[in-house]
Amino acid sequence: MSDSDSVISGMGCFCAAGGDLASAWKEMTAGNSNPGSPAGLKAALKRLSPVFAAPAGSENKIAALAGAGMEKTRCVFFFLTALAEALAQAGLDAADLRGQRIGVCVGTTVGCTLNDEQFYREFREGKEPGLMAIDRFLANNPAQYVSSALDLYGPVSTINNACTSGVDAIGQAREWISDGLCDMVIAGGTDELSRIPYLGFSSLLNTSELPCRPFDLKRDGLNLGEGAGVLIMERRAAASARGAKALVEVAGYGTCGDAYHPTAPHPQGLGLEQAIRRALGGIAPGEISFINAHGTATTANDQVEGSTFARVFGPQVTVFGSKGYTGHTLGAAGAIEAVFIAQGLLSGEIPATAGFSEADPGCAIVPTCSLTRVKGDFALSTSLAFGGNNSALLLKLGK
Amino acid sequence: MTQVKITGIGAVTACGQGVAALLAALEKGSPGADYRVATQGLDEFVPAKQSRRMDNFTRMAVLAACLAVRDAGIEADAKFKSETGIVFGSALGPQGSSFSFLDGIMDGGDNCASSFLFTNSVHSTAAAQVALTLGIRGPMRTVTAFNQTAGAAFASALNWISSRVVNRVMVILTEEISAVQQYGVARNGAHGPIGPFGKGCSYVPGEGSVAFMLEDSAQGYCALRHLDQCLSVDAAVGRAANCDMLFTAAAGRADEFETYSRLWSGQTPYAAYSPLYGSLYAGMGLELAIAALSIKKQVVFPIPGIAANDKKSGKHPMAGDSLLKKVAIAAVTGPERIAYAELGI
Repeated sequence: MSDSDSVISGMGCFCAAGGDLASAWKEMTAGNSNPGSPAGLKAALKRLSPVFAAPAGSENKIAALAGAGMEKTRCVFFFLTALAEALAQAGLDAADLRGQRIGVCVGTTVGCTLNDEQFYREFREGKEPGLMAIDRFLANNPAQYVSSALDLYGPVSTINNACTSGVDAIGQAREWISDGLCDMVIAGGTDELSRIPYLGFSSLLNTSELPCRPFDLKRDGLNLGEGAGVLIMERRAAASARGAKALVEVAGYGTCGDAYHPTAPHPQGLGLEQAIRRALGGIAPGEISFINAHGTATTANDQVEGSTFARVFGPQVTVFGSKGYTGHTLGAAGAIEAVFIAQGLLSGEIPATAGFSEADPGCAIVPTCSLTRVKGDFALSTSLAFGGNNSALLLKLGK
Repeated sequence: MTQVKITGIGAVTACGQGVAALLAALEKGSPGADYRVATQGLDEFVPAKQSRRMDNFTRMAVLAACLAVRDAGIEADAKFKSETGIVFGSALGPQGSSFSFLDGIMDGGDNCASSFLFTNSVHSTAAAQVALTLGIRGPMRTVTAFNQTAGAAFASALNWISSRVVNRVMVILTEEISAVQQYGVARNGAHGPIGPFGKGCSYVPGEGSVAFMLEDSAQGYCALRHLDQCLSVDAAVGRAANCDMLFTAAAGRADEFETYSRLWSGQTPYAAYSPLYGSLYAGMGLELAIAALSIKKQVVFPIPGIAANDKKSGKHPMAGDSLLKKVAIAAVTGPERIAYAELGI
């Protein structure tokens, strides 16, 4: 244990499973999964895939965090909602943070793309649309929005590493703390359902018309979701100095490329294994209590992840996939799942893998089939992305 | 102590391809007008079978990366592939593919969404293509935070090297012009030529890519001695006072003028070369490359379109021995916030 360790003093999540961590965890541990119709996306496709939409939020909850006069995208709204929960748990008041050297690091995909169809259609048709869509895009880079709205004075980074963005944001936050760039970082990920990734993933033929089935023999693709996960990360010494409780420690992070294919993971999971081993550092694989897998329910992802887990940790390793409760939330996924593994460590139990029913020998592991008791100090979360990026995050109980 | 040096630079700008082209343009000192970039040089590094799957954005990034490797004199062997990281930064991302994807569904309906364009519309695809082209299997990260992108990218690289995650990191900053961006700029009343030291809105979108090979090495252009992603203006002026030159990413944005004016108010001679490469969020990266070249050559290049020693428009130190031992590079990232770096011999 070192004073320069990164610890988590507060966390929040906002996703289809629930509007806060407590309600999401309650639903997940009860095995309740609620995919919905994609009707709101108005996608005129032959094959439609269910989506996991976030619940209605409350502007009141984030009033102290939103920038005055700044219009918010749903991505930013989700992040602020989860942030309000995380700050409350960390015992922090937004007003007290103003002017402080606090970093903000956020993973996203939709949140950093100008894809306003109405604006673009009018532009194409030469109708000279107003610039509101562009202004909104420029004002809603998630990390910049949060830093500006809270009037913070620290490093800012929005990471778009596709589906590893959320984990990578936490990884970069840990780097800032270890490098002494700041003592506290608001880190996480956020993404919203949008027609663009919905149509895009459909064009790649890797969405399922049914609720997704991570690691299942009959899995046939992912479902998209939306939401945000936020961590208040602090240098251990700083958290201790202000009397904050260290819930868990961000004990390791690793990221590695496959250099194999623009969209498919390396079939032997070489980059993933490397990322896991970097995250583990000196921790023996046998010390890992459980893993939250990326588990998208695509054929390739789950086969690569499962076989890599079996190779590194043994086939009996405890694995759960949470996308049957949240959908694939893209840039938010790694952050939401970091919150889940922290909660799993703290509560000593992890949910069943929603959607899973029949083991696939090709995956080499069998994920949780019911609420599962876990014990131990360490838990791992993995994320894989387009472009062959693989990232792993290691959390340790903060006792 | 880790000494991070810039050992290679790859520049793909409106000035041309490679450091030599950038140097020639700097020496000539003529401002540009059209800031679009050609990437035909990519054919030298990437088979046509592979490059035809790349959009313009990715082509610029991959070409800059390959040029940086060559400039550093590095052989792309197994050690290089396993011990190199990639940090990619772009404020706006692959705009061409993003809007082409929308064109596809608007022209042909939702069922005509292109998987190719969707994949290319993801910011991190360019980094992935760099990794594929060069076989790099180290860590890979893509950051996007408008004018804070360069600072966040270099911070990642410095951490990876100093904490021994990898031995070297390639930082690549890339921006692409789009018709939508040009429309927005025009609607905001901006018009060239770019006057980085003027009050008016003279923003002219530029595009290009600049790649840096960073290593813990004794050799190279210069050392990256300091990086701060968020300094107050006063603190930046204070730090720059100890530098021989201040390179700034001013690019004709009216809303940044007041802050840059304060930054320029110190005694340190300052410059801004955006008239050469265009107005782009990655400007700090281009200024950093120009600063590195200035240190290496011990030359202060003329500011395009600005007369030497023009006190109204930018101070110009005279060239001389050991003129540039330590220089600062700064970009305004907010009303009271500066991204700041220092390079030294």
